[in-house]
Amino acid sequence: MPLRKLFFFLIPFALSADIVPKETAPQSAKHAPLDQTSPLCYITPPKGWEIAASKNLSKSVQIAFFKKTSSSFSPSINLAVEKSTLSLQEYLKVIRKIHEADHRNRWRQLGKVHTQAGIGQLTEIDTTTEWGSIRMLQLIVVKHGHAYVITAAASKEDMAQYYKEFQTTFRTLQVTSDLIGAIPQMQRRESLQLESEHLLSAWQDLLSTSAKEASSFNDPAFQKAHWIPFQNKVIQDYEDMGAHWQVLVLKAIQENMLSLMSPCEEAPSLQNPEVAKLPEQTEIETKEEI
Amino acid sequence: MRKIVTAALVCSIVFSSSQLFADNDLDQYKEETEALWRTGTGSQDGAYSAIVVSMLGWGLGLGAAIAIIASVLHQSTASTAHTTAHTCH
Repeated sequence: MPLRKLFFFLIPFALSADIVPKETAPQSAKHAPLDQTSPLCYITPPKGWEIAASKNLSKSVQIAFFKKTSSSFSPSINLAVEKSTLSLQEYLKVIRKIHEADHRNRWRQLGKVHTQAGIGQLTEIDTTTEWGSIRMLQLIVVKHGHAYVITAAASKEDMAQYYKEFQTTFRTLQVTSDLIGAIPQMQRRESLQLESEHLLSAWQDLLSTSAKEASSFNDPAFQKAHWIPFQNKVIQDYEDMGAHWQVLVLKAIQENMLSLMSPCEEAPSLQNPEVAKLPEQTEIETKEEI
Repeated sequence: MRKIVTAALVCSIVFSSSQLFADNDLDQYKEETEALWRTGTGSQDGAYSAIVVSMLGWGLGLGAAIAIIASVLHQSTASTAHTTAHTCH
């Protein structure tokens, strides 16, 4: 009799015990925001191209560049990132179906392209719009559970003119967890590392002394003495790294600084009105997806 | 009586547990379906944004051209007015 009682008593526990790990463990990993799990990626656009305003970009597009021209359709290039567990071939099958679902589109697979982030597959999408025939070249690199998609667009007749610039930009795709480490010269790498450490140290000093901690970042003295000189250094001395890399470095340092503030404090806006404009830049806005 | 109560209790716990299992499975299916549904958004978003940016880029180029023409016209009008004023004197 006591055994039977014990049996009845234990059944519910045995049944419910299996539920707990199933409910909690995988979901937190699956719903992790992109900025925490994804490595940083960037492209170096051709010289003279401008950054497009982020308000005009779709959710998964990190950055876009365009060239001002007199033609009715300016060439543009952008980098989009999405989480994907598919292989490159599986991903290509999916996007082929998506693009071919629109009868105006013609999708085809071109060759492989070697990028700094690995080998990618080049595809072509021809489409017709009210403004004429448009050709898009799309390079897809699947790496570390993410699909990196670079899309270059131009009118069909202008494509040959920009093809070389597009190809050069495709090859610059870089996926890294260390932005400063991507600088090729050791001396310049160390110099920026040192500057960023000085900036963070100045920021920590300010946080420990300032009464109005929440507004410290916009503090004119801090801006003038530390942030603006650092920003100018990144823009002027590291121009060769490209505007996308510069945006990512400044944003990463800024986020690092804001993370040092205690969580109960209200974080100041990431957008600083005094931010000096990057070269060839029309508008810079911080994107949460990066 | 005790047997009935115990049996009812066990049954209710088993049913609620199985419901949790079912909910769990449904959630998992839902997530997988959503993930599959979302696959390709990078490519779609990239294509869409490329067209939008290219269109706006043309608009900005056109805006710059209009601004240049407007400033040239303004200068031209100003110099004509200046010459006319001189002639009238």
